[in-house]
Parts: sequence; C-alpha cells; structure tokens
Amino acid sequence: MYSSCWTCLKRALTVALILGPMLAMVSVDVEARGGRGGGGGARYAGHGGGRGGHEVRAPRANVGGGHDYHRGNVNHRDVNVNRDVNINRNVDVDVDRHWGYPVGAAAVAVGTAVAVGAIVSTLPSNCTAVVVDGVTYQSCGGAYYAPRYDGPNVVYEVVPAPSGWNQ
Amino acid sequence: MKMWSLLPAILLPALTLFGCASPPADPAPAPVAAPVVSPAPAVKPDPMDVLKQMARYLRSLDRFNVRVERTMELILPTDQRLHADQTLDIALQKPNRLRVNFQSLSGGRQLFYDGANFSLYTPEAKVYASAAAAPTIDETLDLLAAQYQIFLPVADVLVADPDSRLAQNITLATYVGRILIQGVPCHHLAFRTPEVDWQIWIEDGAQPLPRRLLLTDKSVEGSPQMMANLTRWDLAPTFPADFFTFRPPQDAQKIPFLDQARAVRPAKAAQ
Repeated sequence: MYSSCWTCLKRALTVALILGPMLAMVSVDVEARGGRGGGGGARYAGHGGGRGGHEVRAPRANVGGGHDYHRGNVNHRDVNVNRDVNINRNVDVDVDRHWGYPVGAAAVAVGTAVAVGAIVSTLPSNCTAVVVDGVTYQSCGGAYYAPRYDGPNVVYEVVPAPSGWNQ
Repeated sequence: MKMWSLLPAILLPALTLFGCASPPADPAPAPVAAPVVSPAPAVKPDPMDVLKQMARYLRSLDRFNVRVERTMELILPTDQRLHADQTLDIALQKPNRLRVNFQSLSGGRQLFYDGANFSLYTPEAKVYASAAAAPTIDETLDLLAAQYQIFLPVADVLVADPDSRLAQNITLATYVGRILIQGVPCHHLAFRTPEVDWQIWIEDGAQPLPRRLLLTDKSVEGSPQMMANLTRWDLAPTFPADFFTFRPPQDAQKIPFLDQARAVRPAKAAQ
C-alpha cells in the first residue's frame, strides 16, 4: 500500500518535471506574441503542420484533381500575422457572429492599441463611419478600419488615417 | 444455479413481447404501403464505371440547381472537434454562368459569375467585390480557389468534366453496396488517394446524380472530414435573363480583397 503510493508520487513528480518546462515555454510564446499588433494571441511558432500547434485544422472542400488547385495557398495563409488562431487554410465558416468560435480574425480588446495592418473579423463597439474619397472607413477609438474580403469572409484591416481626413 | 432458474422467467415475457407467442394483432387502421424493394444487381458493379457514368451524366446536363448541405469538421488546437455547417444553393448554366447563395443567419453572401466577371456580395456588411473571371466555369473555379481563396465545396462535380477531378490518383476503388440516402437508392463507392479517402453516394437509376460526398483529409493532422449532401436537384430550371449578373445595390460599397489592398498600400504611401 505504502510503496504503491510512493510510486504514484514519483510518477507525478516525473510528469511535473517534464510538463512544467513545456508549459512555461508555451506561455512565453503566447506572451511574446501578445504584444504584437491588435490581434496578438497564440500562434504556433514551429514548422507548419506539427503536433500541438495553435491552429484550427480543417479538411479541404473538394476531392481535387491533379493540379492541386485547392492547396496552393495554404502556406501563404500561414504567414498572416495578427490572428488569434492560425488556420491551415482559409476556412469558410458561416457562424453567426463568431461568438466563441475559434475561427476567424481576432477581436480587438477594448483599450488595446491597434497596429496598422492588424486584421479583425469584428469591429470594436462605438465606431463611426467616415467616408473619404468614396471609401467608407470605420473610425473606432482613434483607429481606422477598412473592410476587405479575406477569401469569402469580410474582415476589417486597420489602416493609416485616410488622407484627406483631419488635415 | 440461480441464473439458470431465472432464465425462463426472463425469456418467456421477452418472447411474448416480440410476438413469437402471440397471434397477429387486429387489422391496422390504415393500410401499410408495400415496401419498396429495389432488386440488387446480379453482378457487382465496377466502382470506376459507376463514377464515370455519373460524370458522363453530369457532363450531359446543360443547367441545374442543387443545394449543398455541407458539414466540415474543425479540429481545435486542443484536439476538440467541432462541426461547421453550411448551406449553399448553386445555380449553374454551362459553359459560363454560375450563381451561389451561401446561406447564413446573418444574411450570408452571394457569388455571381456571368461569363466575364465574378462578384462576391455580403448583404449584411453591405460590401461587394468584383473582378475579372475566366471564360469557363472550370477556370473560374480554379481562379477563385488559387487567387482569392474562395473554395466552392463539391466544385469537382460542377465542372464540365468531373472525371478530370475525381478519377485521379485513385489507389483503391471499392463498390461498397447500395443504400438509401434521403430516401433515394444509391450506389455507395469508396476511393483512396494518397491524400484523401473519399466516399460518394450516386443515385441508382436513370439519373445517376451524386447525392452525398464524404472525404477524410489525410493530409491534415487528425484527418478531419467534410461531408456534403446534395439535395433539391432541379435539372430543368428556368433562369431569368440577368440571373447571373450582379447589380450592386445603391448602398453597397465595393471593397478590395485583402491581398490587393496590401499590395496597393505601399504604393500609396510612397506618393
């Protein structure tokens, strides 16, 4: 009885010794990226496709032919920064509002400074539409957002203050 | 010892319950329809033949409407699996007209291809994008996927020659059998390629239409699946004259694709 519990304890300690540094590494990775851009968040730092990456994995939409046309831009997507998750392809998800849905660009936390080039799928609250040269921007907390299509999905890119405005 | 003595006590009521011991009940209030019996073919069909027959049939159609109900499996970083559903209504007229209505609770989006341009319209955000398309549906689907990352599920069966997309790299073809899919008798076929295991259910009859497609993407870790039911086939739709042409509503704004916008901005900044 006593000896088996002692074995349990030894096992637990071994697991803790292995897991501890691993967890620390993960949190460092998250922190290092958290300060970057508006999206921040965890993004898998290693080589694409590895186990345990911070990415949502989705299947292709087609059986596909010889010319691999549906795979051409998978890696291209991986180089996109400022997302909360790194998707292994441009996932076409029609979820209403993306509440808690792990797919899509990050939402910007209130009071967070946003960097030009950051991509969000949902605008912050309290935005006002600003029209410059026929283009409608959303001005939210000092940042300007312009709508873009990212694949089939509408996202908002943080852009420099449009020229002509406030000059 | 005890168990043996209990056995008849358990079995007897069970037998009575399943009608073995009781006479037929009184006549049913409504006549039960005669069961549909579709006799099995005498010879096991060749899966490649069935697939090619479907492809030939799809090639012979010059227009159709079909609804695609797609379920895609997403694998989260935690290995939890979620299903994402999507319903698309596809209208197609060969060789160069296509309209897809991606339905969703927030208004969805629509894709138009009129032979010259394609347009993507998102009513909720009141935005759209338009760009030059290719001369045929096939080339336009390729263009959308390769250049704009817009993937149409089951596009393989929409192209002029489905054989060219479906019948490639097959390492194993299996005729599984016949089964009802949404009440329609179907051939169930299974195929393997180096990257994908896929199954297709093709209507057994005069109209060999695809009724369901299921693929397991082995090239993605965890092998997520995609299943698409193809329902509401209409092989003789009538399309209004400008059905495939997008006319932007007054309040809709034309926006660029992300990559285009990023390519343009440095040039603007340099000015």
